[in-house]
Amino acid sequence: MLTDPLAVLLRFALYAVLGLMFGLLAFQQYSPAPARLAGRQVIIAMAALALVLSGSGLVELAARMHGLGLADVGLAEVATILSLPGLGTAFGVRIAALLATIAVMAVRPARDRSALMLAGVALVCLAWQGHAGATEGRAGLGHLLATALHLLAAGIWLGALVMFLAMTARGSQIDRGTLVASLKRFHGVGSMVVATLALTGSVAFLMIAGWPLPAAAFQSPWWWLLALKLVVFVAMLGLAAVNRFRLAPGLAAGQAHAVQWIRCSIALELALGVFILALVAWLGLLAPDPG
Amino acid sequence: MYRMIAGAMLFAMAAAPAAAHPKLLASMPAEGAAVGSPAEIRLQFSERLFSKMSGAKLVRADGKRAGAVAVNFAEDGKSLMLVPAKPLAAGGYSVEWYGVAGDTHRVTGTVHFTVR
Repeated sequence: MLTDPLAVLLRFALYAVLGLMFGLLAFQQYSPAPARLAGRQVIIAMAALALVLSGSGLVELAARMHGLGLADVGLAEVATILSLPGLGTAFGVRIAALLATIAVMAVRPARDRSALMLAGVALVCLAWQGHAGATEGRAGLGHLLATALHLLAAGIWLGALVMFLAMTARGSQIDRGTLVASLKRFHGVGSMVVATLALTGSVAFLMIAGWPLPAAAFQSPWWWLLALKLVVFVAMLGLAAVNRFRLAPGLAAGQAHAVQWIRCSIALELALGVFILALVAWLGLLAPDPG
Repeated sequence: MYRMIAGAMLFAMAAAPAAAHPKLLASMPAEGAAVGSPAEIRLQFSERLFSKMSGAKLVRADGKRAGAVAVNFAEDGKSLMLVPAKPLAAGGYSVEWYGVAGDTHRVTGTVHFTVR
């Protein structure tokens, strides 16, 4: 069932690093938290890691698509992948966007909007490496748009969770007022994120599975992994709701141990989010039909 | 807002599902068929294949390549044609094909037929 563990691992790492990088930069735009929590060096390191992962991903993809071993991949095979319409272009654009992110972060502060946009472009380019890249015609454009928005929304959520974990960590210098204000700001953003994920996720599902649902539904691992993803997503929503409607008001009211409770719920939510990324990395390589 | 959501869902529901791994839909000669020497062997796939990473070879029953065979893709990228330079001698043959489509998944397969 897991035929390409290296491919799944690289896809997971790319989703995590690119999503988080975009999310951290987005957090700088809407949160009053001090920028030093995810400063330029952090972003530069993440962009450099994403470059290495993208290069590895390119070689792995060239090997898999040509039916070769990793050691047998040469420049010709890599050039063939880069020359493919859509998929190859997305690879090139992603690498260029990452290089530009590093260049911008070398001279500008992490709050800079151009870095956010470049990181967004790099993240959106991942849409071509999965089912959306395989859909043809106008439907293909719709599928790519839905996947791109899905990736951006997921990145914003991921970045916020990591930032809140850093802000509530033991020894964190963040004062309670800043934490309360940051949580409040995220509650608005978070609602948009959840709505976007639900809508774009539904659109992408219908475009992959087809409507009405095929008779062979739930006869391949793709369906069960997707169902698991949904269950985990609902669990994340539950935790987010507890955070928003119980824990955050408690923190604002000065309740004892409120920070610890928030830290626990955020850590759990982040673990579930990372699990979803792993599922997605795998799902993108499977087909819904059992054939 | 609601109109936009409804529009997006309708758009998605109307689209044909096109994210399956590529599959061989049909072949000429068909699997297991006994035919006279075919001027052309045609494989029909469910998805548009990347021609640079897809192809096929014609192999005789003894495992050796069956002489010179031109391999070409139809314009829609979904059909693969093998044209032997000379008529095929009587005996068993297999077409060993491989293909990659937009979902980056490499698929392979074999079609067997007999020339009378």
